[in-house]
Amino acid sequence: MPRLLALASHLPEKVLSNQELADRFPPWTAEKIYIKTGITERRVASQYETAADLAESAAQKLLAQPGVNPLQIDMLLFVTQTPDQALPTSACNIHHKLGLPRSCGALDLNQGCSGYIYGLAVANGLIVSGTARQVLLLTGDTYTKLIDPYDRSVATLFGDGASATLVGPDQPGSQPGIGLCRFGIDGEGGKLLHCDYSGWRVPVADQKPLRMDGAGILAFTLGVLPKALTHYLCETNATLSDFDSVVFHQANQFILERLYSKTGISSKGVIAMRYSGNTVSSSIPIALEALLPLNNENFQRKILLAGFGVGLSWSFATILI
Amino acid sequence: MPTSEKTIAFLVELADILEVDPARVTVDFSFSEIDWDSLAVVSSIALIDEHFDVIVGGQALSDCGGVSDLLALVADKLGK
Repeated sequence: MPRLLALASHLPEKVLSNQELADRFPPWTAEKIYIKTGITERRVASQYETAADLAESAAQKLLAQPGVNPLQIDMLLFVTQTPDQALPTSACNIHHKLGLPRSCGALDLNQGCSGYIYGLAVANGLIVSGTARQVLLLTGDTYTKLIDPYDRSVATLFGDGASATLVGPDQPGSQPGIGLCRFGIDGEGGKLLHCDYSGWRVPVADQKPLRMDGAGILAFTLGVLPKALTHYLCETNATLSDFDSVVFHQANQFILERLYSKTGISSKGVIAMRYSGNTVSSSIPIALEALLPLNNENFQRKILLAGFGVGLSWSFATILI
Repeated sequence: MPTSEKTIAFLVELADILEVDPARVTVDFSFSEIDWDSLAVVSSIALIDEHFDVIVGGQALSDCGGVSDLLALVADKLGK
């Protein structure tokens, strides 16, 4: 049965601090931005630095870890909403840069805040079906390139970043490292978090940057997610007390604290976004780094993951690390 | 209609969000001086959900003239 074998992340070098944002958005202060969002700084990719570059860097960090052999990887998945171009698939270029075997496939998956769990589910399915033995799952986004830098409702929240997760076989007879994954979609709510760029629905000349209806997204989060979580726990015959930690998508500290409180998760809920901001599909794996090392033989931890956001979409997974 | 104890506790925290002296934020408080920026709207929606277990819309909240309108909005949601 598949499990997470290795994990790494990468953030771009350039820092966007709260003070710089406060200077841009009077009368907000740096402290107010931190109090309201839980974010002190977020990273911004440089002009010619793409999500694929960030993901490649995360992958290089992972490939340098002991026991990781790129020649054993059968599939490369890249979860992103900010690819290099329409074609070819960005994962193909990353595949080339990492020197993966020609027999290893490559695919981009377009999903946002719930995307890491989609990626885990796909990796799990590929391995369980015998299609692949080891899957390199990458996430990466440069949402800072999608936003209007003077839109104060989003400029404070999003940061660029990437992650790499190696998913591979566990010891025979062990419990599944990736448990049940479940998903939900509210396509009508898609307009609440929307960007025209890089698409063909809206003529290029009319395309608008990322727009987010914060109140609408909050209403969705608080209205839908607790009930969906209850349903997931019921289906998996679990209670919150079964989990050692809970990692929700790191949207902003405010939403996380409210969600963790509303769902009874409280102190088990991980908040790890102070120096990275909302990194979209990378936020869960970046937060998981707080729980390293993986697969310590002395103790195994059961973790509940929950992604939610753009789509609108949501996802749950149970992992053992 | 929310109980007065709940209302008082809610208004104290609302004052903190609006950065107004809590002594001023009574049922008669007007929002005319309040700049409903995105952070204030989102924080207030979450506060209302925490205290009254209802979710109000951002526009509906911004349209409230003052605390009494807000409490009426909450009562309307609770009644549904």
